[in-house]
Amino acid sequence: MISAQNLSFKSGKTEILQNITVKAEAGEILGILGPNGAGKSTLLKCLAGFQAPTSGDIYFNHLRLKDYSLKELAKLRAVLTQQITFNFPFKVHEIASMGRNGPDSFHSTHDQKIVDAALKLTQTHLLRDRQISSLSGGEQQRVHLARVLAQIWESDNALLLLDEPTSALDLKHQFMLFDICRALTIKKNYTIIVVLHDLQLARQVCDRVLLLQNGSVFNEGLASEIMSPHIISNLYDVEPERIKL
Amino acid sequence: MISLLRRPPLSHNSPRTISYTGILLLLTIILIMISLVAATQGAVQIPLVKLLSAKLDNFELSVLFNIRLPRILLAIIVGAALGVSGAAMQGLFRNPLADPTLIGITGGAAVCVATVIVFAGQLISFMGLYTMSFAAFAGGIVTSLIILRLARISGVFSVTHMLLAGIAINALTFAGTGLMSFLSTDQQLREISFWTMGSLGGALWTPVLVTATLVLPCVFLLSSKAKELNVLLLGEENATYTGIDVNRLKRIVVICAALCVGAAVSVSGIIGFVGLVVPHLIRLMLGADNRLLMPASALFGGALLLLADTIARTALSPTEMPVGIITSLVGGPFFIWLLIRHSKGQV
Repeated sequence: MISAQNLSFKSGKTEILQNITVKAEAGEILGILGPNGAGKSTLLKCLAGFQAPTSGDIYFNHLRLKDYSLKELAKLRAVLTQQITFNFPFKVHEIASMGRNGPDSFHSTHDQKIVDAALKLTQTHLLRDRQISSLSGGEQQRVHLARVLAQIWESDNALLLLDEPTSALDLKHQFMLFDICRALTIKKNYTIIVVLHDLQLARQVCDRVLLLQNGSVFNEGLASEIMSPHIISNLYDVEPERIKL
Repeated sequence: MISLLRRPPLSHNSPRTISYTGILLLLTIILIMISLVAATQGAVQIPLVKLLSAKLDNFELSVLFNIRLPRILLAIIVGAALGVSGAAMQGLFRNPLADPTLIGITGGAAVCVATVIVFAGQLISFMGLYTMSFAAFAGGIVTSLIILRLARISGVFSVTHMLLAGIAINALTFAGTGLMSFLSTDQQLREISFWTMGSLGGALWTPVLVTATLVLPCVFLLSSKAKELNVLLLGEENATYTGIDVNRLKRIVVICAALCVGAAVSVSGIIGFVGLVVPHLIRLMLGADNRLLMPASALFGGALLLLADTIARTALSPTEMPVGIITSLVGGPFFIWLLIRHSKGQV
């Protein structure tokens, strides 16, 4: 479970986030949607603990987020960021192993088993010995998903943050991704927050959605209720008749 | 040194690590074989059979212990320092084209050593080579930090920014070294120009000991951080998410790399391209895993510089070429080839 109260974030003089209050319960998938530049990624970085908010508090499993050490947090929270460029010839399983590569973890058979299971889960185990740079964008995205899942593999009540995880995925693997997410919320009580651009997908897979506009909360609530043509057309400044959900 | 380097820094139970041990062992054997050959070559030839059967006369023994052995060890240590600092810089900048000479770290170290020679000659006689090493270290670390800053002006590390910053800093340090040469007395000028040529000539036991005490701990520390350096290649944000204190890691890498470069530069001047060529060849042959790359770059760098130095001192015998000329002759074209590959997206 993670919650933020009156979260604001300034970069220089520009206010990127203003007074955002958001809560995601354990066992739920929260979608964050909004136009380009609405502050979705920045909000995710704040919730991930990478960027400290200018004001406001974030609580993760009832403790203040900033009171967690980097290592504690790494076991309980994983983040799939947008595109990761890689200049070095690493193999797929080496990349996925980096999820189990924390400072005091052992590169043991136990870790290796977890990595293999994560690769299998994301349907990348057949690519295991390929160079990461030789894969397509979608395949790379799934490998990084495997890395991220391997990182919090052994934790219950963990937090999984995904920033546009479907941007390079085909339809089948988009559903695969959210099947995995749903299973994790049910079996392991994960809290999952996902930034998405695909409205129909969001409506199908998210329990609740948070709509952002210009760094503020535009609306929030159950995905099935909030995502109406009327609200969406206001959010994106598009005529309602062009929106088909 | 060799027996210590052989041990890989991490666990022993995975099959990967065992094969890493094998590779490092093989590199060690290559290094020893080159050392044996290097020991026999020179103005006084010492036949290998005599060397191995330990039937040397007093003259040969004195040549071996006073001239050849320190030279061989110094070449290995300097080569190891250059190789490992190149690998570390490439990890830090997440860029296979980062090389301490290209991006100006060596130049920064050189300027400081020249300054010390000209303005603080008495310090050298007081604290010996350590003064030079630490001056070179200070120069190296300042330039490293400047480049780290410049390379990410646009918010991300970019090759273009890094190389351009390197050009600017190299021009500055070249001017600085030139100015020092201009201000120097005849004796100091001799000292400066000897040393900027990049040569291992005049190797004695003192520089061997000084550089060894600086370089070896850095090689071990960098090797022990290999796993974290692997993760750093995902980018600072992602490395932070896996629980790594990125700022601390960056500090350690910059300090170790600058110490290695400083130690190498202070005894041997500017020997270019070892830090670029060595890690790259290792990656091409053995993969990019830093757990192997760090120790292997040290071993292979030592072997390669020893080979180059042996050629440099025997090819035009009885005169000696500066080894820096050889490494640049080989490294320059190699760098151009890398640039072409890089622009084609094949690196």
